[in-house]
Amino acid sequence: MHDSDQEREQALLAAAALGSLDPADLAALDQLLTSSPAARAELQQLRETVALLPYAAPPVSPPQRVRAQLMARIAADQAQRARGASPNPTRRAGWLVPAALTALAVVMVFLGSLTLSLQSQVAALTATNQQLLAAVRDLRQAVTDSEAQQAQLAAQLARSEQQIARLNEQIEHERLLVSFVSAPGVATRELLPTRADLTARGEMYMYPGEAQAVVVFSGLPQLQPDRVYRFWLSDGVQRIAAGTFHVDATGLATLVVTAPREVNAYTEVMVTVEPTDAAAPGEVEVILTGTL
Amino acid sequence: MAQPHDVARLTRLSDEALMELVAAGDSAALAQLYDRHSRVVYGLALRMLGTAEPAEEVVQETFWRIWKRAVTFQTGNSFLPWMFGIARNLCIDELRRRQVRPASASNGEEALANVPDQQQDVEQSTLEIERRRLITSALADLPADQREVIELAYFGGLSQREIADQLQSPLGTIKTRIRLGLQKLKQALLHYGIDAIDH
Repeated sequence: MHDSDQEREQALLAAAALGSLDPADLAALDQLLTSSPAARAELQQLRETVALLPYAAPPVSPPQRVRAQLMARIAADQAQRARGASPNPTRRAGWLVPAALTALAVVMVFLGSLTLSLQSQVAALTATNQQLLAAVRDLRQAVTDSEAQQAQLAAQLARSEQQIARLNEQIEHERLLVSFVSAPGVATRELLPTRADLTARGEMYMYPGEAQAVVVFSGLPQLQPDRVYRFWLSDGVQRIAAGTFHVDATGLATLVVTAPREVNAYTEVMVTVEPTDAAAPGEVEVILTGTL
Repeated sequence: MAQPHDVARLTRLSDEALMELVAAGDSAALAQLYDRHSRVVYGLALRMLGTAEPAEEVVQETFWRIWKRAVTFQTGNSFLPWMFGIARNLCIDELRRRQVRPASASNGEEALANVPDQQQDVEQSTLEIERRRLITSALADLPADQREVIELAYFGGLSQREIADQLQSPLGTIKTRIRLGLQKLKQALLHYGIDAIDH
């Protein structure tokens, strides 16, 4: 057994002995006590230790009336038991024959012992019933806890799967960029700012005859949530929107462009700042341009 | 009512032997158990509840339940854990009825100042004093944080989670303190030889 398991078991037993166990730990304690005689013996020892704790409080004699009231209750209880055990003899004793009296005495003794036995059985059954009710409550609690834990694990699993999917997507994206940028024969084109106060620039990686290209941007300012960067390709006659992007906090962004035909068929590229919703009104500003 | 020679005979019996007589309906045996242990039960109730009247009710109800439930007491078990378990549960019931827990496990001492003590059997008193000396020493030897959680659990009637909330500490820390504290207490009492005077 690992130290941590042993410590967990000892913690359960200590809390049980002190009567401070949380309801959530009852099922674990029950399982431990059922399976381990050593744990049962340890709990007994700890209970004996705990039974000394009341002596830490200064002992004080309770007032005499407490004892007197208690003993009066007990005397009344004994009298009630005696009445219950023996019927009033004055009604019958005058005319019963000795044989009948003997038989009655035997029946009374039998009934008396039967009553005591039944009282004992009722008390034992009541105690057993209480234990069973407590066990059922514990089991219900354990089932509820288990279901809650299962739901929590399922939600966690779903979140992990989403995260893995996002990471796989990102890895695939990065792999494409690396293969594009580092492959032999790649041609690069530069995109420069249209305004002197902008330090932004773009680097476009492309292959002659290929419809795909990668553009790496730097120095671009982050935009308001309702604005977006859009990349354009132009062949001198027609202008084609080839994707939108945002930049991160450092002003960097990477865009994979998939054109309707080979990229080198176009003569010009540009980046504009536009409303996020293309249908919404708003100013369109060209901030980067380049020739292919 | 028990005769003098009966009382002398009863004083020599162990708690567990007296319980067999109580189970058979012997009220003198119950009175003997009361005379032996009511002071400690009352002290415990005063410490947990802080005031005399409910503590007196706990004492009377504890020994009434011992009388009524004597047949459920299993031969071979120790009497003291069973009896103090009844008394402590009654105190916790009272605390729950009030919906107020003691602010500190060390209270109750103040209430004792107003409660006049009375003489009792010398032999029994010596036993009590010795037990009190041993448990007080063992508790004093514990690190303060372990002693605090044990007292909150036992005298405050708090669960581990309630202690964690009250002390604003992680639940795991409270469990560790209780485990270590109780283990040390057990070892200390064994070292002091508590078994020798307990049986």
